[in-house]
Amino acid sequence: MNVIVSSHPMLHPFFETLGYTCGYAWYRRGRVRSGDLLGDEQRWTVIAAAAIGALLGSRVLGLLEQTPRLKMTWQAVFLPGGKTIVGGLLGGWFAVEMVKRLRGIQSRTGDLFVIPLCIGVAVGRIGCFLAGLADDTYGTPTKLPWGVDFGDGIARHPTQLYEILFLGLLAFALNRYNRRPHPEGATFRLFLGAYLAWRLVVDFIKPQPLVLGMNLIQWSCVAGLVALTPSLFQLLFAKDQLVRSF
Amino acid sequence: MSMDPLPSTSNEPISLAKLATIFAVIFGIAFGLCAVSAVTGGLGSQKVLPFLIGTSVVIEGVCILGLLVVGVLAIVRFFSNKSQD
Repeated sequence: MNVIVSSHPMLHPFFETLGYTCGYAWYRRGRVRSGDLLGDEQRWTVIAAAAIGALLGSRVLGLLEQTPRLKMTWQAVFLPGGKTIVGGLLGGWFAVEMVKRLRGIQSRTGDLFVIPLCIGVAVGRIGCFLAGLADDTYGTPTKLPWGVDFGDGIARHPTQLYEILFLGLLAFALNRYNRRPHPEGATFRLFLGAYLAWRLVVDFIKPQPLVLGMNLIQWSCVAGLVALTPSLFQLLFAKDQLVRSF
Repeated sequence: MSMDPLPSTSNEPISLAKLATIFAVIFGIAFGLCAVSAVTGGLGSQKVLPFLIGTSVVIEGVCILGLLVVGVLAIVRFFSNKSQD
């Protein structure tokens, strides 16, 4: 017997806001406890770049994802529609690297954001789960006993719950890693790599339009992983790294 | 007769980055509300649909305007700091 969950899309903005709030509260706590290499102004510059880059990235990829299904016009940019976490992460990452270059910020800045991001995304995913069929984050039909019926009589993979579980495990592992001496910036890169790899895999059980065998979010994950791999290897295996523990 | 000195006003510039972050986050939330309103037909009531979408669009517009102003101020501040150096 499958679990039946009725759709409550109106709860999505509530959990999205709660996700931002929880993530920010955890970031504040982490910054007070472990200190920060950046001053207040520089840190806020990085946060602003991340927020604006994430907003643009999530919207652009959200629209592109729908392109194979919908007839796209320029007006669609201003109409309601999807946002994606992968686009947000990649857009935020790109914007932060640009701003760091412009402002001459040399140090790695992402480690403080890792646990807040895990928490924020996990809380936001509760809203995606409760939104049911109104949100495009549910999985393909399944006969597994934990399949969830979102109101259309079809049991589906609860991919939102899989992701919450994954993020919980990832946060636990990276929190432990953070406490040991590690190269500065490595925690963020490990988080980003793990999340992109996760989405690359889990999106195979999401009913999204495919382009050359994968959906556009998966192709973005591949692009992100390709861009990330050199700096991840450099951080983890190069000598003379700044080492830090929280 | 002595007078207490007036409290000095702070000359610290407003953090443009903080303002930009606030605008970006509010825009994101308003956009989400707009999308949900459209999907649910006004959270289940067609009467409030135009109100919800209208409010969201106005908030989004204010945020975009705010981000543009902050961007211009940031550029001005950047160049005025450079000329002082």
